[in-house]
Amino acid sequence: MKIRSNQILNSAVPMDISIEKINLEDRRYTVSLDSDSFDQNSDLTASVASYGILNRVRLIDSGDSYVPIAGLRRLFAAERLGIGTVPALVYNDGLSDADAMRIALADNFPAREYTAIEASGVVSRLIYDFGVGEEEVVGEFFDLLHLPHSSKIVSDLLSVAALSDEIKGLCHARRYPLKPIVRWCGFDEGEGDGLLTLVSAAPFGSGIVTELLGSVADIVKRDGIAVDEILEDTVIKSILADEGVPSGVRGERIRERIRGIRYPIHSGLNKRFDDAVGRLGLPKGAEISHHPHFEADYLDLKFRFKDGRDLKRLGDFLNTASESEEIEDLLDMV
Amino acid sequence: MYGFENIYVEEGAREFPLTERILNRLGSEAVVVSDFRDIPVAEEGKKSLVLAVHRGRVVKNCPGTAGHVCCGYHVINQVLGCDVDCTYCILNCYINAPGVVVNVNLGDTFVELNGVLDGKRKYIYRVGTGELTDSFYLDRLTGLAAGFVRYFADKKNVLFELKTKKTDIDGVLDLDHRGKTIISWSLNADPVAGSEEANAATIRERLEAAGRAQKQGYYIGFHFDPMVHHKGWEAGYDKTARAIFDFVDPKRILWISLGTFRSPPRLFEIIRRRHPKSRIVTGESFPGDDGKLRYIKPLRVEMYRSLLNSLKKYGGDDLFVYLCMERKDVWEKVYGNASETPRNSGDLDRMFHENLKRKWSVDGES
Repeated sequence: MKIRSNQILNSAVPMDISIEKINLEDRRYTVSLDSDSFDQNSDLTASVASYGILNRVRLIDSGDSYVPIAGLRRLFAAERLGIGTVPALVYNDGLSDADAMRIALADNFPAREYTAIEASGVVSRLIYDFGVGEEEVVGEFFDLLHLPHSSKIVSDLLSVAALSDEIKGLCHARRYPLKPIVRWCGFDEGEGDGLLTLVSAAPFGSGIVTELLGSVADIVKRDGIAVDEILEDTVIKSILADEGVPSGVRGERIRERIRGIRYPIHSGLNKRFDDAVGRLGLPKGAEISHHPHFEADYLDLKFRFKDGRDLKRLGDFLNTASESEEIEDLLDMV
Repeated sequence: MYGFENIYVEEGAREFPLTERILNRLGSEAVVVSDFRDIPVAEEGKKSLVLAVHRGRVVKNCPGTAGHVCCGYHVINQVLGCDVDCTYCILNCYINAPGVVVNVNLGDTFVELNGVLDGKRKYIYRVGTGELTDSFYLDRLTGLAAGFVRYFADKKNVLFELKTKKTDIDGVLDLDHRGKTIISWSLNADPVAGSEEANAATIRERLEAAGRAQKQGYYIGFHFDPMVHHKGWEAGYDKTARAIFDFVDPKRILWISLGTFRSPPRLFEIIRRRHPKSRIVTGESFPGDDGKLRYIKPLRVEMYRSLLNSLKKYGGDDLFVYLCMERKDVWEKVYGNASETPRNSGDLDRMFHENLKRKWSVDGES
C-alpha cells in the first residue's frame, strides 16, 4: 500500500547507508538537468571533506539497493572522497512516486530556482510517468517549482517537454524562461530543430529569441513557406558562414535580416530613408529622424551649434536643400 | 437554439417583456442570479446567455481613437456577444464576460434615445446596434432588429443602421421602415471571409441579402472593415467591389467605409492562441499613437487607394466612401482632393450630413 502524503515525513528512518548500496544511476526523481556536473562540485566536495554531510540525503529502500530521492550532489561528493557510509533518511518501498518527487522538490526548494526546461521535465514525469492529475500538479507541486498556479502553464510545460533534447539542452543552458521556448513548440519537429542553427549562432537573450521565433513563425504562415527556405536565404547563410565576426555582431545581423524578411516595407523604408539622408549631405551637427514606424506625418531636424557660423551653415544648407529631390523623397515617406 | 449551455436571468430582469419573450422562445429553464457579475465565466467553447438590466447609458458615442478622424457615429449596446466568431473581433478580448449579454430593459433604451433625439442636433444623427454584436444575432429570440426599425420609423433627422454579416433578415423585410433604417453588410475579400469570419455568410450570400433588402426599400451600406493584407489582396478586394453592383444599385448605397485591420496588442496574442492558423496577425503592423497595432502607413494608403479606385470604377464617383478611424494625413494621401478630405472629426460628420441630404429621401421628411 502506498503511503499517504501527510504521513511522509514521519515515515522516514534515519540510518547510515553504505554508498555502494545506493544506485547513483537511478535518476527518476532527479530535478536538475545538470547532473553530468554532479561529481564536479568542488565547493561541496571540500565542505563534505571538512565537515561531513550535514543534511541527510533521502533514499528509498527498494530491497536490494537504495534509490536516491534528494542529495545526489552530496552523494557524488562523498563517493569522490571515498566516504563509505552516508547519513540518510530512508523511506520504505511503499512511498509513491508523486510523494518522492514532492520530497525531492521540497529538499531543493530553499536552495534553487528551476529552469523552464527542468520544470517541464518534472511536470511531464508527474503527469505521464507517475499518473498525477493536472489539477493536483498545479495545486500541490507548482509552489514547489516556483510557478504561478495556472493550467495554461501546465499545457505549455508539457508542450515544451516534447521538444527535442537538442532544443531543450540549448534552452536550459541559456536559462531561457518559458515564453521563448513555447514559441518553439509552434513548429513541426524538423523545423524546430532547423531553427537551432539560427538560435545557436549567437548568445541571444530570451527577448530576442522570442522575437526571432515569432517572426519566423509569422513568415512561414504568411508566405506559406518552410522554415528551411528562410534558413536558405543567401544573406542568412552568409552571416552564419562568417565565423570571423564576434558572435554578438553575428546575432545582430541575423536579427536585422529576419526583421527585414518579416517587415519588408518597414525595412525598405528605413533603407530608402538612410540613402536619402546620406545623399543629402547634412552639415556637421545636423540629424534628420523619423517616427520609429513612419506613422507620423513629419520629420525631425536636430541641429547642434556653437556659434553663428554654424547657424549660417545650416541656413545656407536649408536654402539649397529644401527643394531638393532628397527632401522630396524623405517627405514622401511620411 | 443558439447552443447556450446555461441561461441566467438577473433578478431585476425577470419582469421585463423581453425576458419573457426570450425564455418562451428558448423553452429552457433559467437560473436567477442577484447580479450578473456573480456569474462564473463559461468554460472555453461553452456559452451562457445572460439576461440583464443595463444601469448606465446604453447609447454611446462610437469609441473613436486619439489623433484620428472619427465620423460621429453612435452605438446602442443592447446585446454584447456574437456567434460569427471572427478571428479579429474585439469581443475576443472580453474573456471575462460571463456570456452573451442581452440588456432586456429595452424601454429604458427608448427613453434614452428619446432624450437624445429630442435634443438639438446640427447634423443627421447616425446610430446602430452592430458595434458589439451582429445586429441580427439572436434576432429570432429577441426581435430587437424589428423593434428598433419600428421605433425609428417615425423619428426625424436620424438614420438607424443594422450592421451584419448574416443573411437572415426576414424579420425586418416587410416592415414599414419609412427609409429611416439602413442595412449594412460587412464585406471582405473572399479568402479573408473564408478564413477569418468562421460563421458568417459568404460574400455572395451577403450581397444577395443586400439585394433583397434594397427591393424592400431599404437603403444599403457596406463596411470593408477590417481590410486584411494577404497574398492577392488587390484582386480579392477588387472582385468584391465589382460584385456589389451586380446586386445593389449604387444610388441606394448611402455609405461605404474602409478600415484596415487594427487592434490592441493583447488581441494579437489572443488571436495567436485561439486561432493559431489565422494569418491575420502576420501583416506588417506597428503601434500607433493610440497604442493600437496598425499596418504600416504606406501599406494602408495603398490598400485604401486601390479599393477606393475599384469602388468608384464600378459604382461611380458619387459613392460616399470614408475611412474609419484614420489619420488626417492618410485621408490626404488617399483622396488628395481637399473637398473629399475632412479637416477633423466634426467635419467628417458634416460630410456625412451633406451626403445624406443629397441621397437620402425619407417618408415624412423633406
